[in-house]
Amino acid sequence: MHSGELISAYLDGELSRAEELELVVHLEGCVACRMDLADVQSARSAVRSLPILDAPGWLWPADAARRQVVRKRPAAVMAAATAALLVMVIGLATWLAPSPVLEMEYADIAVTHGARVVQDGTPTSGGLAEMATLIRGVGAE
Amino acid sequence: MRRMSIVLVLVAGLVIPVAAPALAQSLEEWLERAADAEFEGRQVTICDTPDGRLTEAVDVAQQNRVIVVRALGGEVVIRSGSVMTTGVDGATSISSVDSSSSALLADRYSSEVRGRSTVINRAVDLVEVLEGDLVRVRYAFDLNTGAVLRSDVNNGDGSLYCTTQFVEFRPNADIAVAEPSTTRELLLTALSSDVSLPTEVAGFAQLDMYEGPQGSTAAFYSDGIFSFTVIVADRKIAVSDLSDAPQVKVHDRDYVRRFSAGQVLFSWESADGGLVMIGDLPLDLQGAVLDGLPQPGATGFLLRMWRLIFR
Repeated sequence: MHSGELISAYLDGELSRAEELELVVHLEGCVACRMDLADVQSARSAVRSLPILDAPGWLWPADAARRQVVRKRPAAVMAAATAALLVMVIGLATWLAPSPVLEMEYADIAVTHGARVVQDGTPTSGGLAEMATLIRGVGAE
Repeated sequence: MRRMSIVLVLVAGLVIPVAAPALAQSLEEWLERAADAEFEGRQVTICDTPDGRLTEAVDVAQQNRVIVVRALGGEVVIRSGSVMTTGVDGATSISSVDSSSSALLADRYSSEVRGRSTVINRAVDLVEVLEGDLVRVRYAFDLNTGAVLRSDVNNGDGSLYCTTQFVEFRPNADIAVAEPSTTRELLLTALSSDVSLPTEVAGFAQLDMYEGPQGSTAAFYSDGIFSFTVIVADRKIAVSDLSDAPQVKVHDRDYVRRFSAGQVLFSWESADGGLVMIGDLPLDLQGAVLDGLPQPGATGFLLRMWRLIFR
């Protein structure tokens, strides 16, 4: 391998440990080679310090860019559509499902309370009027 | 002068034995005597509620601690340990009650005897139940039988909430109870439940819990004067006859409320399920009690989804 190629490979970190050792020994005895290494290093540093710019339109035609976007979209779109569909299905099922409700007769509630009141002997303010509600409830069955 | 003294002593001897029991009795003793009274008559209850004035009339007879209440549509027979209701169509229910404890008069109440008066031409002892400076209840106990001939219940601001009074009254009832041909049994048996309800709410003690209607859980609370029952279910409770009941705000929370004479019912849904509270509470105590119970909570989409999936 030419020393120029070795220098580039060295700077790219592509040399094996043995090749790198050989290059370093060679550079010790080759002034021109050391100057080449310095030139390549400074050139690379200058390139890396340049700002990153968008590619000009002539370099990346519009239809090519569109094709690139179209190629990338399907996965994202499919994922979003699947998620939206899932939410819609769960939501619809939730709303369409019968809401859990416990039906109770007013009279049963009055009986439950009234019976316990009587056992307790608590003098209710309404006296026995609440029992009238109970009677109507039973009579209405 | 000596003759005058003898007359005074005799008069005092006649008057003091009659008046003395009134002064010596505690409120519990007054109420116990009322429970033992025997009578029959017609009782009217009038209540001023936010939904208007409500009136109810029933025929009542009480003997040997058996109470028979008759109204249009049937009768209710209340015995020790059971409540039996008979409707006009023969539908009947018997509720066996296994109460674990009785209410003690809450510390906030005291009582004062306010002398004698008359109600429907019968002599009565007037006894006031006081809550601080507020006269919460005014009872008129029949001098002869001990029955409560009239009671006036006040709201926290002193305004009158409900009045219950006999308009016809005859001592010494003779109760003849017809045995029902069909029965529907509702057992109120005390149970230990994992339902989380407070043991004390606004000065009302929870006396016991038992199975409520449709497999729900019921808890009974009393302060010795007023009482209420809370019914809890793990889902929304739909109570019949509440379709026209108004939705009201109590302390900025939404409830469905229905008044009847001497009784109020609230229905609502909390984050944990449905609740119903029914009782004879005056207006101010209604809000205080609701403050201490599980409050109306989020019942939206996520909660419904959660219940759909996990219940």
